[in-house]
Order: sequence, then structure tokens, then C-alpha cells
Amino acid sequence: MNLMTFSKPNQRVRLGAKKYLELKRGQDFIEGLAWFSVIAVTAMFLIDGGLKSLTDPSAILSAVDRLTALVATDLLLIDILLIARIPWIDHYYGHDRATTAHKKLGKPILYLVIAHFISSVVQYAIVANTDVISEFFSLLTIADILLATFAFVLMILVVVTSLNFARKAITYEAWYLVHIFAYGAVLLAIPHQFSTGTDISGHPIAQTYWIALYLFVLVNVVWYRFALPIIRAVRHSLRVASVVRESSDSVSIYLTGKNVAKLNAAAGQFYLVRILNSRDWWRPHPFSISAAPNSSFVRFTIADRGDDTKLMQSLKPGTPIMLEGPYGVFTEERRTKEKVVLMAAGIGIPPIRSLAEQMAAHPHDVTIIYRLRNQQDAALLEETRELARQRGFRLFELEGRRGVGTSWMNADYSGKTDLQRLQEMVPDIADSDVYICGPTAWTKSVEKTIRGAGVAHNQIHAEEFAW
Amino acid sequence: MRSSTKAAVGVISLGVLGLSYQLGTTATAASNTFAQPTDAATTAAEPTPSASATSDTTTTTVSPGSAGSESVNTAPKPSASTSASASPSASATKATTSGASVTKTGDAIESGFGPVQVKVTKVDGKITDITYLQSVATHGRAAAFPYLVQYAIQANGTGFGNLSGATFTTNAFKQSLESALAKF
Repeated sequence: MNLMTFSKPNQRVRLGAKKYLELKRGQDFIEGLAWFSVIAVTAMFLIDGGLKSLTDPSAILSAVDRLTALVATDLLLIDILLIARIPWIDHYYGHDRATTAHKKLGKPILYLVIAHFISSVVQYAIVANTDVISEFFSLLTIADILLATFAFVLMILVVVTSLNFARKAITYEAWYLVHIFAYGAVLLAIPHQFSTGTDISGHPIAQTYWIALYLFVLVNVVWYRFALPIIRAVRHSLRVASVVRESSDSVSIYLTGKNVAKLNAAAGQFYLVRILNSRDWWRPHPFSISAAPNSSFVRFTIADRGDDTKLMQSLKPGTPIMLEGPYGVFTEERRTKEKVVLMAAGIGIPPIRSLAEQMAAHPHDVTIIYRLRNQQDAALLEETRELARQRGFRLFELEGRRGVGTSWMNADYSGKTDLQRLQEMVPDIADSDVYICGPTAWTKSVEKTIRGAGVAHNQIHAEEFAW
Repeated sequence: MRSSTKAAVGVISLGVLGLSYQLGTTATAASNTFAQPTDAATTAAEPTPSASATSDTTTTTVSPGSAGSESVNTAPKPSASTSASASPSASATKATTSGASVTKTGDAIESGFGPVQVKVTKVDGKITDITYLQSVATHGRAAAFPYLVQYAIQANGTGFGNLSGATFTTNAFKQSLESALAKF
């Protein structure tokens, strides 16, 4: 079954440089806030005489120990906020940037915590006039320090499992489970900060700052990450209406429920999908909606890539589903130009297909490029063709095996470069917004080509279906 | 961040940090280590069992290193006997029955930030006064000494939590106090 009746597209869209400038301002503001929170804790440390009378190794180590702890804790709380999918961060900063920043902060935070750990143990050992190992074990007898040491081990685990090589080796489910430990790490570390933290206890201003920051993070995480999704799940009570085969290895899952029109998603966004049964409820999976938001159903199109995506292929109608979201800025909100090129590879098609349905456009404004191995494997191909036909969009199907070298197109033996072929397909690409959804490597090489074609950075919108 | 914003943020940050450093290095150390006893009291209430555990472990590690305590250690006995007359064991039982005040001196303990040694006065088995024979603590930890006395009298012993930021000074204080209490 293919979906051949489409929702009415958006009638108007705001374009231009001013919108981009507003976004940049919002991003600068949020980055500035984060930066100044680090400056604030450092300033409090300095005002407290943190760098005063550094005359012996123990005093220097104590200063290192305190400063690394303060900065690491501050950054860790920011890092949690970044990934808490808080609407105001998603909107003003961008879900994409927040995720990138979150990933980037992981390692520096761990390095700071390691520095804190080593310098504090060594400093205590010097002061107690004993060796580092026995001092470490005597410190472990303090309950708060023992908890903090557990937190330290958890943090190492979280960061290591997020490194690229480790991610390839473990499943999404394992990674997700380990990442939940991060919350545990933060909680376990709190007691020793307030009971033994030289810079917190007895400092009314510092105490107020830290309690306020912890509460702020707590409220945001509890509300947006836990409470709101549950309230929404109850309000919409979505269930699987039907599961429809789309290609040799993919299905579409249709969800229906109450007040579907009020889900307020935009084409190109994704949800974290939870199957609500006793076995699978604890691990959500990100999937993009594959049809423009409408008042009767939510649809995901999911290819079988093993593990839980396999599970999704055989969902029974009636299964309750919980959606967290919608998330993401791979939407028309980010569009800056009249002309648009939508590019998908393989199972990157769902958000591209829904964008083609929803975007405000005159005929010929939009070009769709769909890279596919063969027609049996290609999900949503018939629908995309029908959409292009009805709306007067151009559709290029790049079918077959991959071109030579680093080509991201299909092999066509013409001897032309990807750039030449792309410029033939879309002569005005330099003056277009380009939306790209595909595997990471494919997306990267497409970006390289289109930048060569003169597409500016703010005209490129990419969504990777990687976690 | 855009480069113009980055430049502005950078300049402001340097200014704030520079000013903070100035403030921090010119201020007196004692004023900013322990603010109010109420703050310290709330934090002190919680880690009581763990605190006593550390003082056990530090006893073994610290005492060999405290070279100075040897010479001072001999001093306590005469000073104790001055207040409690001839035999200490007899005077202890006398103290509990008669309500007279008995004073004992603890060992000098090296905290790492300086030596700590206390003299304890008990009336009817209750600690009524603690005075310092030695109280040296660098890095601003000296501000802890009045609070330690207050807590020890309140707890009538070493059963109170560590003073935050002065863990070692607290431990040294407790060891000296314990050695004094052992003599009653």
C-alpha cells in the first residue's frame, strides 16, 4: 500500500539573511551563557584566593585539584543540559549543534575529572606523609569519597563507550544503557562536593550558585526528559494501527491515537520511539517521521538493520507506543532560499519525503535526488515519484552501484565528476538550500561536493541517521 | 560563536578573571576559609561515621611522621598531674564522684598543615573546656580551630563530622583529643 494522498503543504515560509542572523544571535547567547558559567566558577575560585601562596607542591596540587573539579562539574552540568532535549535549547541553539557540542565536551570533562582525581589523591598523600596507594585506600573509607570514586569509574565507562571505535563495536542498546549511568555519575559525585568541597561549603555565594545550577539542570531534565514525555504519552495514547511493507527490507509503521493533530511536529523532525511492553520499554530509538504531520496518523519508515530495527518490522497492531519529541532542526524552519535540493541515500528517505510533502514551494523550486541501490530496496520510491509529479518537483533517481573513488553518486561511466553531474541536474545549486539525509560518510562527501559548487555553510542542512 | 562575539566574550572573560585574581591575592586568607559556624555545622552533621573511620586510618599513617611530637609527648604528664595531683588513675575516679574538674593533655599530632595538641578539662565526665597547647594550620585552616572546640564540647568527644576544607586539621584535632580522653 502506498500513500498517494498528501497533506496540504505550507503556504508561506520565511526566508533570508535576517532569519539566519537571529539564529546566530541565539546560538551566541547560549554559548556565551555556558562560557560565562565557567568563568563564574573560576572567578569565585580566584577571589577565594585559589592561586594565592602557591609555595609548596601540596598547595599547587590543591589548587589544581579544586579548579579542575569546579570547571569539570560546571561543564558536566552543561553537557547534561545540552542533551536533555530542552525546547528552548533546541529552538535557539539547534538540536544538531547541541548534540555536537555534547559529544565534544565529553572528553575534556573526563580529562578534567582525571586531573582532579590524581591531584587530590597525590595532594592528600603528601599532606598525610604517606604513599599514594595507601592514601587512596584510606580516602575510600570516607563514604562520600567512595561514592565519588564510583562516579569516576562510571564517567570513564560512559566516555569510553562513546568513542568512535567503541561505538562501532557495541550495539545501540548497550551504549544507551551505559549512558544512563551518566546520571548516576553526577548524583554519586554530589555528596563529596558539598561535604568536602573547599570552594562550596562555607561560601554562601558559591553555595547559592551551585545549588541553583543543580536545581536548574534537575528541573529541566526531570520535566523535559521524563515528565513531559509521560504526560504526552497519556494524552495521545498512541498505538500501532498498521505495519506496511515498503521495500525488501523496510516497513512503514502507522500510529494513531488521540489528538494527533496536536503533536505539533514539523516535516524532517524525529521522535524517540519506545515500544511500551515489559521487555522493550526502557530503550527508545530515534526515527524520523516519513509523512508530513497530519491530523490522523504518525508514520515512521524503518529499515531492518538488526537489533531493535528488526523488532520494529514485526510490530503487532494495537501495540502501545510512546513518542518523545518531536526533535530536530532538519526542517523548513532553517530554510534560507527560494530554491531547495532534497537529497537522500537509502533509508535516509523518510525525512526528505516528508519535507517534500510539507515545504512551501512553487513547481520547479524543489529538486529531489534519491540515491538507491535498486528499486526493490528503495523505500517510499513510488510515493516520492507521485509527490514530485503532483507538486511539479524534479526527481533524480541515482540507481545502481556506487561510482568510482569517493563518488557518492551511482556509477554512470560518463567520466564526469560528481560536481559536474550535480550542476547539470541542479544548475542553480549555489543559490539553493540543500537538505541531506544519509549515512555519515555519504553525507560528508555530498557536503564536500556542494561546497565546491558554491553552497554556503548556512544553506546546508544535514541529518545523519547515526546515534 | 561569531568572531566578533568571541572577541567581546574573550575580553570580558580576561577582565573578570584578572580582577578576581587581584581580589583573591590581596584578601586575607583567614577571612575566606570558614564563613559561619552554622554552615559548617550543617555539613558536619552528616558524615559522622565516616569521619571516625578516617581518624583510625590516619592514626597509623601520621604518628610515625610527627617527629616533633616525641619531645612534646613527655610534657603532658607533668601538666596533667599538676591539676590532678599525684596518681592519675585515682584522680579519675575521684573526679566522677566529687564533681571536681580534671584536666588531661593529648598527644601532639602533625596534621600536615602544622602540629595540633589539646588540653581537655572534664567535670563529671563531661568535657567543659578544651584549650590548644599547639595550634598551627597553614593555608587558612587555622580558622577551623574555634569551631572544632565548639563541636567537641557539644558532642562531648570526637563524635562529630569533619570540618569541610579542613579534613586533616579536624583529624589531627580528634586524634589529640582522643589521646587526652584515653587518659581519664
